[in-house]
Amino acid sequence: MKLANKEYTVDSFLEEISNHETKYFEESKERKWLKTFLLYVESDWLQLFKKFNPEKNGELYYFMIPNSKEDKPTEYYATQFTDGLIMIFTFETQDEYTKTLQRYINKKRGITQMWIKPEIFKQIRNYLIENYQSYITSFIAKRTWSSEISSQYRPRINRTIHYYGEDGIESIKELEHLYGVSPTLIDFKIGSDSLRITNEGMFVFHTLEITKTRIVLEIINSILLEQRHLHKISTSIESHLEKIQFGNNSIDVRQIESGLIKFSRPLETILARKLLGEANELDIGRSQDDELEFSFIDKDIKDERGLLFSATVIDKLKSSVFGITGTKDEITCVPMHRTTFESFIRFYKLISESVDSSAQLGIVSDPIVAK
Amino acid sequence: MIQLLQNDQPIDDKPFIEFLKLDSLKKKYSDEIEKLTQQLKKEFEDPVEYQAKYKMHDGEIIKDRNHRQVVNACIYPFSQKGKLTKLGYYFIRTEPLLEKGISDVDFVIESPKKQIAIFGEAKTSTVNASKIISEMKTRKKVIEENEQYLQQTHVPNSNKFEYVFGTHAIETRDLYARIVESNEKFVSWQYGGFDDNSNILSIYVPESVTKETREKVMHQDDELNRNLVRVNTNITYKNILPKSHPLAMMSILTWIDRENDPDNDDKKGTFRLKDLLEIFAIELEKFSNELIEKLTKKTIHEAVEIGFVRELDETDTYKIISQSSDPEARYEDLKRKWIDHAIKKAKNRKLLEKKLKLQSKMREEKLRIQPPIDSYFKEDVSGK
Repeated sequence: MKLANKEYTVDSFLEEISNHETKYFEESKERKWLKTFLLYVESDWLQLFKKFNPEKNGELYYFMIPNSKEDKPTEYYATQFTDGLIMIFTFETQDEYTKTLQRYINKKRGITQMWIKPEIFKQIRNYLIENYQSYITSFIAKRTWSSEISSQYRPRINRTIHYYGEDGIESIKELEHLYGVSPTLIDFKIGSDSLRITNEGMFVFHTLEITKTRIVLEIINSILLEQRHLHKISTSIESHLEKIQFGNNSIDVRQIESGLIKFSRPLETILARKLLGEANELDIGRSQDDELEFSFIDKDIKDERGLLFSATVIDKLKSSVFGITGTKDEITCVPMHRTTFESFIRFYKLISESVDSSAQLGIVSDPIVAK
Repeated sequence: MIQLLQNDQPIDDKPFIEFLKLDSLKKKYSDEIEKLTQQLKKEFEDPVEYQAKYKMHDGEIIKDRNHRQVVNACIYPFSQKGKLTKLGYYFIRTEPLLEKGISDVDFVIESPKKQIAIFGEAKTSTVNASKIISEMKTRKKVIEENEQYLQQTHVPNSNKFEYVFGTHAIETRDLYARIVESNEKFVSWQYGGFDDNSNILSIYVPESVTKETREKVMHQDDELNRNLVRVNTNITYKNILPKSHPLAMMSILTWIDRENDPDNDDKKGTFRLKDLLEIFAIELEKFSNELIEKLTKKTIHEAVEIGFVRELDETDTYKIISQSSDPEARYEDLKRKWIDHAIKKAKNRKLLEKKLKLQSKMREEKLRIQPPIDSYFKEDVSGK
C-alpha cells in the first residue's frame, strides 16, 4: 500500500496515514494493521536495500520486495531513527513480512532485528502501564531450563505460556514468579485501541490514530540509550590490520577488539556443556532456534581447576566466524573471519535467553563496571 | 612425524608368486598372506581395537590443540587493544624461521619503539625440563645466527633479543626453578592462575629474587615487567599454526564454503582455492605467499585424499562431501574420515612391512630348496 508521494518525516508520515485512513483502506476484506519493525544496521544502511531500488520520499524510503507466491509485491517504508537504528513501516501481514523482508534480513550481513533484552522489555511494559493506563490482554512468555531466573515450580523445564485474560498485568507477574518465564510478546489495550510489542522490536498497531502510533517513537526514545549502547559495543568488536608509525618506519600489526560477556553469577559447568551442545545425554540439548543459528566446532571443556571452555563459533546465517573462551565469570568473543556486528548481538541474546538474563556485553579493552 | 610411503598400495603378489615357482612354496606364501591379512583385520577393524586407535588419534588432535591454546594465550594480549599494545609491543608472527626451514620458536613479538624482539616457546608439559631448556638454548643460538635475516624480515626494528617460555600456571614454578639452575636468560610467562583457570597471562617472578637473577628472568624493559601482570588473554585466536595437526588445518573447510553467501545461492557447499588462501593468509599472517600457498594446497590435497572434499571441473574449485551443511556435523564427519584414513594407512603400512619381511624369508627358503643354477657350475676341486 503506497502513500502519496510527499516529503515525509516520521511524524508527517504517521499523520498522513491517520488523516487519510479511508483513502488508503477503503473496503479491504482483510484489515491490514500498521506494523513497525526496529532494526539495527551498519552505518550505510541504504546500501543494504539497494537491490530493491528505494524511492526517496523525504526522510522515508519506499521499496517493494517481490513475493514469490503472490502476484502483488510486498511494500515497505524505511527510515533512519538514529545512527545505527532504522524503522520499517508496513501494512503487510506477519506472514508476508516473514517470507520477504525478514528472510532477507536474516541472511543479509549488516542488519538485524533489534532484540530488546528482558530488563528493557520490562521497562517498556511499565512505561505503557504507567503513562497510558494500559492493561495487558494477552502475552507469550518463555523459559529455558538453564535460565538463572528463579521459578517456584520445577525450574529445570523449558516452557512457553500463551496467556489470554483481562488481568494480564497481574498474571504476567504471577507467572514470572511461579514459573520463571519471561515475556517475549505482549498485547496492550490503550483506551479502545490495542498495541502488540515483541522483544524482537516488532510493533503492531490496531489503530491508525496518530496519538497512538506515535507511541512507538516515545518507546524507542525511552530505551534508546541502552539500545545504542548495545549497537556501539557490538560494532566495536572487530579485527583489522593497522599501520603503526614510529619515526620514519612503520609496521603492519593486527589489532583486535574482542567482546566480553560478563555473567551475573558463576556459570555452572553443565551450562557451558549445554551451550556447546555437549549436554545431550541429559536430553536437554539446544532449542530449535539455537541450532538454526550457531554452530560450535573444535570444542574443549576443562573442569579440573575451575571451568575453562573454548570453541570456534560459526554464525550460520551471517557466515561470521569467531572464537569463544569462557570461564565461570565471563566469555570472550574473539572476531576471526568475516565477522559482522549482529552476530555478536545475537550470540549475546543466546546467552541472555538460555544461560544468564542479566549477563552484560562489553568489550575487552573497556570492561563493564559492575552496576 | 610419520613418513609417507610413495605408494601406499599393497604390493601386487602375482610376480612374487611366479618367482617362487614351486607349488609348496606358493602355497606356503599364500597361506601366510592369508594369516597376515586376518591378523591385521583383527588388529585394525576389531571394534575394541578400532576404538583404541580412534582414541589415540583423538589424543593427538587434543594434544595439538592444547599446544595451540598456550601459543594463543601468549600472543593474544599483543594483538588485543590493551595495556601491552599501548606500550608498543605487538605480536608479529608464529615460527619466524619457517621460510628458512630451520629449527624454530613458536612465536615472535616486537616492540619497534623499544627495539626489542621477544622469541617465545609455548609448552604444555614441562616434565622434561632439562630437555626443554637445552632445546631452547639451541634455538636461541640459531636465532642469533640468523639475526641479520630476522632483522631484514620480521623484526626490522630490533637490536635486542629476548627469550620466553609460556606455560600453564601449574607447570611454571618447576620450569622456572630449572631455568634459574641453568643460569640461562629465559623469562617465564604463566597462563592462568595458580589456584584456578583464569584467563590471564602474567610474567612469573617469585617475590624474593636477587638482582643478579632478576636480570636473567625478567624483561629488560621494566614497563613491560610491570604491565605483564594478570593481563586478559584468550586461548582462541589462531585456528591454525603452520605445523598444526592436519585436522586443525582442514577444520577450516567445515565453515568455509560460500553456501551462506546470499549473492551465491547456487554455489552450495563449494569453495575456490582463493577462498581458502584468503583465510590461511590471515591465520598465517606475515608468512611468505609461497608458504601460504603450499600449506593451503597441502590441506586441500589431504582433504581430497580422505574423501572430505572433491575437486570439481571448474578450475581450482572444490566441493565438500558431507551429509550435512552444518559445520558441527561436518567437523565430526571430517574427524571420523581423517582418523579412518589414518588407521587404514597404518594398516597398509604394516601389511607392506610384514609382506616384505615374509617375501625376504620366502626368498631365502627358495634359495635353500632350489639353489640357483650357476651354483652347479661352481668349480669343484674335489672333482666329479
